[in-house]
Amino acid sequence: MFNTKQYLSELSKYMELKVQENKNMNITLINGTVVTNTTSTTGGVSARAYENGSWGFSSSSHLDDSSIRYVLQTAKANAEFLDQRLRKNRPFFKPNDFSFSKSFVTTKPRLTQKQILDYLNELDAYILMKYPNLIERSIGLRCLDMDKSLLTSHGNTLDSLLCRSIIFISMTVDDGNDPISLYQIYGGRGQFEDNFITPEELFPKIDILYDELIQKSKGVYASAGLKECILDSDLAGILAHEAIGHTVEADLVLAGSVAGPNINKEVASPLITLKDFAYEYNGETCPIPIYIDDEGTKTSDVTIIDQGILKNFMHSKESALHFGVEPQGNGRAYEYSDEPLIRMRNTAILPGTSKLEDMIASVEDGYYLTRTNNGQADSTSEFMFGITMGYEIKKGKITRAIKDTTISGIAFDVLQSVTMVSDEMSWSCAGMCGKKQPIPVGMGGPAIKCNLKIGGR
Amino acid sequence: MMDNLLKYSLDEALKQGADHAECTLTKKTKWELNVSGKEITLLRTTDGRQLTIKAIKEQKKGSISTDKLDNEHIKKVISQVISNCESSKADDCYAIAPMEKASFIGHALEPDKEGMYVLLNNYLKDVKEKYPLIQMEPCIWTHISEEKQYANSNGAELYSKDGTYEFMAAMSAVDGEETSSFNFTGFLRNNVDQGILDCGSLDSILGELQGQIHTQSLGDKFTGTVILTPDVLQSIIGMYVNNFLTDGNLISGASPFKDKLDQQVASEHLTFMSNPLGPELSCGYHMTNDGFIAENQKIIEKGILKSYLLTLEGSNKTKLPRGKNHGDAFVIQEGHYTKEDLISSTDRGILLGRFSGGKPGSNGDFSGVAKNSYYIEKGEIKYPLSEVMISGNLIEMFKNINGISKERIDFGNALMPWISCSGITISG
Repeated sequence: MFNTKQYLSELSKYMELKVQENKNMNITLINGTVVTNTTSTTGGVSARAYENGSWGFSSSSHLDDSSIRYVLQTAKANAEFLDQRLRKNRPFFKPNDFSFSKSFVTTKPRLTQKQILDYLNELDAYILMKYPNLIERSIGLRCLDMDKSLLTSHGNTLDSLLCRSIIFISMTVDDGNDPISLYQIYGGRGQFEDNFITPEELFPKIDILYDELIQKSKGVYASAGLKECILDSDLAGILAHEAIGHTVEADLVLAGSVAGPNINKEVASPLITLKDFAYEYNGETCPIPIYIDDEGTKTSDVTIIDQGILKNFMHSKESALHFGVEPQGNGRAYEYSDEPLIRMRNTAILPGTSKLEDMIASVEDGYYLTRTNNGQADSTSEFMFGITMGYEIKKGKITRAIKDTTISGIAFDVLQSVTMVSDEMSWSCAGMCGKKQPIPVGMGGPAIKCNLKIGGR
Repeated sequence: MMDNLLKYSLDEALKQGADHAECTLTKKTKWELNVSGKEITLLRTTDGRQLTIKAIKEQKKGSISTDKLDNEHIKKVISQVISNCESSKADDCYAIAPMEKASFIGHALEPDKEGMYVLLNNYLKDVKEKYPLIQMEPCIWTHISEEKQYANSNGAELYSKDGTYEFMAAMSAVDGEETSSFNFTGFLRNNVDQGILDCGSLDSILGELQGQIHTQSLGDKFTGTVILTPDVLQSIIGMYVNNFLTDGNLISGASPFKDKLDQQVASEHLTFMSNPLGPELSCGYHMTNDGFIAENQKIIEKGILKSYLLTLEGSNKTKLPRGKNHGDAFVIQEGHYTKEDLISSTDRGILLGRFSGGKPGSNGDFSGVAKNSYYIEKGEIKYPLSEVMISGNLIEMFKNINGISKERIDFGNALMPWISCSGITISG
């Protein structure tokens, strides 16, 4: 951890100084061939200065005393460049003095890259031996360590080392006409040694993935149109993040998102409560725990929707000042050279009381959708998610699997249509949210029953 | 003249046991103005360096990137690269580029800071006057100066230095409590001679957004025509290339184009190139990511597949020809129709302003939401749409081209027309 405190006297009225290093490990095997075997380190120092409503930012990949002084001076000069031209004359932020230190580094002995590659090769050998009919198998490992030291002119400090390690496995079969693929992601918060003990632990999950792939290869195209659907927890999580979460980021509210005029109005079924958790849910650490954000704000949970009523937006220090509320720590940045933006942390719909089997039994003609590969949303809350695995539901029973498709809807309308919410909750943190910068986020939720549009033929 | 750092890195890699090694040193500085809402909010300057070292030992490969560039750290990093090699599996296809030496100096190496500020300020004033309902979030106007050096143990030494002005904006139109879908566009330039609003497709997208606040649902499902706008086409071409013509799916064998070289894979209307050296594009590049001097190349000519965009290792692995560049500089040949001709000849379909969809399947199947789009019936644009999904197959879509426009949008790093394709499922 870098001691940023020695520069406190160099910081002007409102400034942040950050020293950060991101380490990435990226290994990909395609059909047993190692096509990528890299590690990368991106680190350096940055400073951000606020001058009467104008921001200046500067960064350098050099990390020595002269570079630190250089970025401090340049950030101030950049803020002044704008202030001299724009003269916004806006107030400064209220000080607070919270500091925090936390590391998620494993306590186990670190594995070498060879040991990690051996682990992946064992997974590959298992897939090849057990499923020789695959036309493609791909195994990827993505590990990220974010080591950050922050100091603000208010005296806040943060020293954190946040780690994530995920393995993705993709399989492809030929259904006689076309290649059909399916992938799954395993792992999450923590370093490789904490998430992946032995390859054998993943074998049963690989078997499930293969079974689903075969079902999908024999599956049918969904019938396009408005349908009653059960979204499994992964999809509820991405719905919470993409379709609702982005519309309530205060910068997007100011840019005209549909959420803006709906504060304190009913936007969802009373069964829906949606929160952006800072670091803990039900006493358990969240996938991406944020205790203090990149602006030095002590974090707390943001209740976005409470029993159907839209209650809060997510804020940076600046947007909180604009709206006259307290910031709750949503100012986040990805790399040392990135400025904080308003970002989500761990966004989730809270579980309800229904049983999944009862929810499925209640659908006459619809779909049970279980896996997604991506999602996009709009300022209108209209969203689109790719569906990579799902099933038809006919007369309350799961029948045939479906091929790749897409679902869409207006999120607030879809949430108004929710009639059942399951009592189970699951989290995922494989995703990177994109908004000028990528950032790792957590998403969670139960299964929900709702109406939405499904693509197909 | 090879940088001392690269020479040290190559020598050290060979000394530590590599049979072959290559190094790329990239130095990048940015001067960036950010807009939020309707005002400039942030001036951001960054200064970064990155050294990437790849080594091959006994036909095993490893690579590492780092931005700590002192000799002691590099020595440690190379030791890690060699360790990565040793942990890898041997593959005869691993290779580095042959000996080539070249140096390229481009334009706009330093930012015209005052010029950039004035252009952005004028743009904000222009938008406020001409399109008062527009909100921007975010809008970024950047000068990027990049110096790149590549060297390898075969004696290759490539150097390029270039500067680019890059504009990117996401925006929506807001009228009281009503809002349009957001849309986004951008462009690259190598000077600040032209007003921002006059570049790329920005002016037309801003104008259209103001008319997209009040939309209608289709309430129907049919198989019809989709006219891809230049912005959409740019992203669709990216999907097409990634899905069928680059290392991933060609190495795995999942690309349906793996045995289609010199065969008809698309409509004879379609000819497209990747031309990083211009002359059509002002912002290309001179060297590939794997150490070759970039050349222009035809990818599809009158519907016939002429080349792939494989790397050297991808080429070795697949036994298919290496790409002469790494894509990202796509030029689609203009057609014989006006944009209006394409609309007026459409019996039933949509003008697709943005496609919000996921990665297509290996076979090219895609589906997603038609955003910022218009319903067309009997040759006329009827109304802006909401909640409309489209689905089809990328390969079939480019086989079913009805026509390509004469007009093209110059994005600086791509030149794209409007293309009309039939056989797309449209529902909403």
